[in-house]
Amino acid sequence: MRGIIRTPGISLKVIKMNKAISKTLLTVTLVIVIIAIVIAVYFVTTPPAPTPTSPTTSPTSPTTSPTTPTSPTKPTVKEIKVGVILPLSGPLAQTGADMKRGIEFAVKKINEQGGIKSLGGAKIVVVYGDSAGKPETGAAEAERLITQEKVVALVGAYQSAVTKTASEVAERYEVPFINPDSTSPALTERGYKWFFRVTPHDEMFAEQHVEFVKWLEEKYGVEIKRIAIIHEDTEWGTMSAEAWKKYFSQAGYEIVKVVSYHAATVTSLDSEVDALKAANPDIVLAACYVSDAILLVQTCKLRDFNPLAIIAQDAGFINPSYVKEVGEDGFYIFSREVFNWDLFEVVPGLKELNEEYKAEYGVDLNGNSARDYTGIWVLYYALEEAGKKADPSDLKAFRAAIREALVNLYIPKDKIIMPWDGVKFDEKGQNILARGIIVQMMPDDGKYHTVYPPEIATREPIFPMPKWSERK
Amino acid sequence: MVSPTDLVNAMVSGILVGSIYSLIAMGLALIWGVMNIINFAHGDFMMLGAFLTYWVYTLLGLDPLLSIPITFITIFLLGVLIQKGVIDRILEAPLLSQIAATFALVLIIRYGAEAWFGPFTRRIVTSYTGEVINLGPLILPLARLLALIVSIIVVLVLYIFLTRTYVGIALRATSQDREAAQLHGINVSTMYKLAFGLGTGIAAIGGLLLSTFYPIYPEMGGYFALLAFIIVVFGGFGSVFGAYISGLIIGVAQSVSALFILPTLKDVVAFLIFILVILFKPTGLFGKGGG
Repeated sequence: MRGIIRTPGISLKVIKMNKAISKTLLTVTLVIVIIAIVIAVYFVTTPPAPTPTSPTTSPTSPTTSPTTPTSPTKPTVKEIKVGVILPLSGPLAQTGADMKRGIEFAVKKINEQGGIKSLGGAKIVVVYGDSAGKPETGAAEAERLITQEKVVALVGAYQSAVTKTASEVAERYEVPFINPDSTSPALTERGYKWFFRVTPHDEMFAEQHVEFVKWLEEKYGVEIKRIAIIHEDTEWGTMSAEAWKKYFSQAGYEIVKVVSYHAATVTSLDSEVDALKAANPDIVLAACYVSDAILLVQTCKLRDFNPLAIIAQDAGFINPSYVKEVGEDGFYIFSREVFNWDLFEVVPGLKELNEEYKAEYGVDLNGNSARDYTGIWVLYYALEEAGKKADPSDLKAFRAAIREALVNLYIPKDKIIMPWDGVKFDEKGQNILARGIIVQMMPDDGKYHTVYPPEIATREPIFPMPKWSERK
Repeated sequence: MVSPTDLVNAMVSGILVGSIYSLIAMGLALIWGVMNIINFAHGDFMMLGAFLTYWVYTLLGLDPLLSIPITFITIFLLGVLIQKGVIDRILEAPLLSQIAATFALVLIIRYGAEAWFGPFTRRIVTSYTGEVINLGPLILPLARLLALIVSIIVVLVLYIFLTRTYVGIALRATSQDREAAQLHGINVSTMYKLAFGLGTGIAAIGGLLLSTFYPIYPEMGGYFALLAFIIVVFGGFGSVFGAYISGLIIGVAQSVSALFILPTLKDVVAFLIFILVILFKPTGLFGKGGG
């Protein structure tokens, strides 16, 4: 090592001077950059001159709207702003990105087919709020979207914990909140007036899981008794586990072990899987996000844990990057789903839609993107109705009209891409026509196939799942 | 209730995961020891190491274990650059500025990776990924066993480097007394670059080894960095080998405690042990002196 003693005094001074100069330079540059950014942000976010306040200068409006002679002075709105809250950064960013594609695709389809017809073809414009996966951030974003962006309605927010806080804000401001993707049962038990959940919730899924396990028992003549649960420990995973415990013990099954872990900090699932294995369950129920789901499957394999079946609560297990990365180790695992790609055999028009989506984004529609896609369509049908009754420039009245429309809404099953009987909200705001399906990842193509309910199944389930040691 | 086999298995799996914690913590300890800088971005250098390994594996088909030199040297150079461009300028700055600067690094690296690579989870599947060596009832996943072996080799090489080579001794001298080292003709600025490069490079090796059995995603560094901090304090500030042993202890504490209590609480036990040690020996397990 070249170790030359420099005269410290002089060199230090030089360094200091250099540093002083570069520091000043740096500060000046920073200030300029910050000012530039602020200006840029200001111009980007400022709406280009509000148009609806000039009814006198729009002579075309009476002539172009002959169908609505009762309101000839109705100002034309070019766009309807909708707020969407998703976890676009943070640990769930990939799930968020996936759902954002579903939203974008729905908005594109609606705008392409002529926008909201009752509002003279107004286009839907989405303003995104990033919850970063945190309840407090989600609430702050809801507030921003409502008060600053003046959105007519909110859609979101995936994680039940975030949906909870964000919809609290919406309820306070009297803004309709459409929730296409959160499954905590408690969300529709709050007596909220402005909250509408399109997806089935965890208790509905848990009930269906029990039905499915019973169906397996009958179909394969196997006795299933012992159930174990592994779940991530945020509100979603915990509530899933609670619902499972409730419905499976009601149906006479024995819950032999419940293990939870914190998905954001999990470094190993060895202990968790060992604990499950020690309880010797027939069936394992799992509620996980993406990375931890991969880790769980890996750990089950390495520790040679062989229950008769693993039934997952969608989320991580149906995420495209899980499906892509888990490979053959994910075979035979069941997941409850709300949607599956093979449904195009039973849902008319879905195949073409999926091809279009795939051409655009490079991935197939999945339960998350399809539900958010459907959520936007539900909002669209409500907007069509609301547009007939209220004027979007009167935000308060228009929001109330959307709520009114949602309360009375009925969408038949051929109008949605989900395998449901349609969309109809009960007095709690829950879509009572929604239901889940159960899929299984098949070894021949590594894809999930619908296996339950039988009337929309495309494959027979493989049960019990082969032991790890018997797989090639 | 708990059989001896379970206990041994839990200890083994604790040591296997702990050896990764240890590597990451060692890098952090080295940086802290030599430079007195708290590097918040440490876990993110680990993440970069894992991603680099992933790309080298998928694009060039090079096995992770063979790409150790590539990963180490690349992240080492990145570390040197960051030391030169960022850390060097804040060495004399108030503590808060230092924290803010390295925290800014966290945000830039982590969210830069998220923007660049996408937030997706990736995985490396090598020929030994699913292999398990069963020694009687003992479960030894091959990928993790290899990781343990590599981590031990890294520690040995580092030990020889720090104790037997001139540069290594100069590095330790700098860590003990910067001014005295300077007076003895050691180029402190070079030592700093070396320390930061080595520290981040070792963290990257940790990320590389982790990537052979753990999913790879841009946010993966966060919790490992937190553990590394605790391990460094636990092992005694700046004690590189103390950090290695402490990492193993934390790993074993987590997995063994999960046998007796709810696995959910295994982190709590690790942190409780940490707090107890700090209460009775504030300088950490292997820290010198009383102050």
